[in-house]
Amino acid sequence: MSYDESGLSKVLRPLTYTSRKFYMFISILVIAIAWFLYAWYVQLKYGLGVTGMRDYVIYGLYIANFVFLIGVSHAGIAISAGVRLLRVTVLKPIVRMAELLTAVSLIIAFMNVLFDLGRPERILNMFAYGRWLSVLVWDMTSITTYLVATIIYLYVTMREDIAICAKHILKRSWLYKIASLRYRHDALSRKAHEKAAWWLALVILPIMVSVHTVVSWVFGLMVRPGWYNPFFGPYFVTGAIASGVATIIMVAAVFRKIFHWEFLITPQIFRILSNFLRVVLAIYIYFMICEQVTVRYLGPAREKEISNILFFGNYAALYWFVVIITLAIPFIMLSIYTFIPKFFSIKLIVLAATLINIGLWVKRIIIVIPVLLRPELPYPLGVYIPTWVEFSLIIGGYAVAALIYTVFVKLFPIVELAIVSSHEVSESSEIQLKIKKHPIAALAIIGFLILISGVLGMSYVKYPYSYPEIPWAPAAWLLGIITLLSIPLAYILSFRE
Amino acid sequence: MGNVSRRSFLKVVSITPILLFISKILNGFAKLSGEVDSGSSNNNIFPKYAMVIDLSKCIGCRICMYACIKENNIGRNSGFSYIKVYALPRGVLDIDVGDECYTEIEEDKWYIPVQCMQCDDPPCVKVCPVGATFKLETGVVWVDHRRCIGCRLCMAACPYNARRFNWVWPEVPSNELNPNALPTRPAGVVEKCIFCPHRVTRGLKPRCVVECPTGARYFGDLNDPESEVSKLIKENVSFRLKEELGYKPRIYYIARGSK
Repeated sequence: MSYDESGLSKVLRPLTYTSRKFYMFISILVIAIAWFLYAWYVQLKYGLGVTGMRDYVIYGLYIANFVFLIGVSHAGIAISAGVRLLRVTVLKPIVRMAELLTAVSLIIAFMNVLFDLGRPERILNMFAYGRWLSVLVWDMTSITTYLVATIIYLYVTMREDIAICAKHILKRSWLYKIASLRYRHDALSRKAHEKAAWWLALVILPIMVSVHTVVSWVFGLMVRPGWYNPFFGPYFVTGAIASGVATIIMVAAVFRKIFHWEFLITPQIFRILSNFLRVVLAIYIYFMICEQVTVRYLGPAREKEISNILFFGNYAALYWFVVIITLAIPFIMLSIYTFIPKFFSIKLIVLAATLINIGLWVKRIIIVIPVLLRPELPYPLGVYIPTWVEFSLIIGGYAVAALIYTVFVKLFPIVELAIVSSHEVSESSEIQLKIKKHPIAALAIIGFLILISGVLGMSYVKYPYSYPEIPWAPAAWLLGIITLLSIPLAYILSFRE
Repeated sequence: MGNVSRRSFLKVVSITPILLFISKILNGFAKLSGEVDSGSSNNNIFPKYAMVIDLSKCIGCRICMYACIKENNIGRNSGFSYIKVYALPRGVLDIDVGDECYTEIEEDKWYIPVQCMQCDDPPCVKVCPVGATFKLETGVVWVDHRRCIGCRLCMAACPYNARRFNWVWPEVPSNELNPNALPTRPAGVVEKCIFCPHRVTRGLKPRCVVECPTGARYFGDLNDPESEVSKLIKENVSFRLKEELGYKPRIYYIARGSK
């Protein structure tokens, strides 16, 4: 097996060579995380009173940031699955960056939920006493399934690369030998992995849509003016894809700059991403117009009041900043090169993506907070000013994300090595996969049956406190994860010639 | 298994529990819709507590509010109370123009006290992810502060702003601690009016009912047609707050005669 050594060594360079800047970056992150842990300790000790949230403003920056991060998580898998299902080979170099972005931002989103809970140590109550009827249990179910699916998908698509690393990077080959789980390097297992990844991509896309729909329902199902809105689902999903694609543009630009991967991350990739982002942004702006026209034309007084807070009130500055600086102007920046080709520049696209991300972060705040400032029973309009604890926890969350991402890039190749390898594995369509009766398949089926009976048994346990109750909500979660695991298991472990 | 093939055997074995599971869920849904509607059930074993507030008697003195804070061991530093009183201009029945923060009692205003309505179809119970809030047989919506994870979704769902979150650790001077009521709740959980269960189980009335200087509050059993509240609701023009939402609140407001 031979590889184009120059391309491969350039891609593997972050794994073999560590500069002083890396250690400086890591130590900055560690300091930030230490500060974040102190702030979290303060919040756990004195209660959520150390934040700016009070009686009526029950959700603040944490939940807005959570919604934003769930949004960022979207595009990763969307792009990766789209590339796999639609065979957009041009985008292949950024696929793994996008997948990793999804996994990391989901983990940090979950951390933000923990920040927001009054009693984070009781989070396991969600499993012990989870209720089917609660929209938060739907949230937990679909987000956890999404995270598990992402990690499985990420592993399935990179197992071959880890095995290649075991040969090329000798100083850590023990790590890669363990991590590749005795990968057999041949055309057959490559085909099996491709098949498994294809099916996983197909399964993940609907999970992805469900995740942000369910997150939007935390607001959209509450009967409050400004939230109670049937189209919150598509509205949030569109915003999520916009912020996700914008984040991927930023991440790709950072890698291009730091590792000098101009040969890999071509302007063509930025052009495709920005074309896609422009369309999503247009849909998002259209949704915003629809929302405000519906509210303001003959809308009830309460709805108009929320709209007035945004248009002319306390949040007018933020609202118009979002609309003009971070939505309208980036839209022009992303569209102008279609009319005047000489205006195409990667810097312009990255700037537009950065603005869009800032704007969508602020947009999440002005979705959550103005509605809470005007409670169901009248109260003089209050203010919400986040405290240092909230800012520390949020910045600390991003520091943890950066740390996970950096360490991953240091340990594993962030670009699919198949792109830079000159050696083509023989055209895989000739190989036929056949089911081979394998003990693991039988074990999986037996385990599944045991689990079902366990679930049934659990459903007869009476919870004295939960009324009205349909028992054992986490069953859906467990079944989803087992189904997901069964795909790679079926293909990789039990299918052999 | 002579003529049963392995395939069909596996099929039956795997499908049966799934069908059982589905039937169990459907059964649960059926039971659920039945139980939530049982606000007017014929099960009279338990009393069904309700409150009637006579708005023509309420003078907006907020004595009920301060008494409630003392009775229920609400932290003096928590900055909340279960009861709120709104001042409304005469001739208006729109709670949206009410004023919670009035500082002096005015003759040309009328006052409407609001607390947890103990709804028969409560949205807070529906959204709670861990079943920490639920309805007792007496119709009271209870909060289990040992199970609550503090997600505050119930507060977002409640249309009456009746629920309070412990942002800080509540502090009550030890000589003012009420030993009969629930001890102070920890920081990070939700609490609300529960119709003073420590008094009601001893045959007393809730503290706000007893303390009201004008006797504007009445408390009793809706299942008993001879009780004071049942008669008051039957004999007077009565209404409930935000009835149109359909959550079936159980605090009735009446107004009779002049103020």
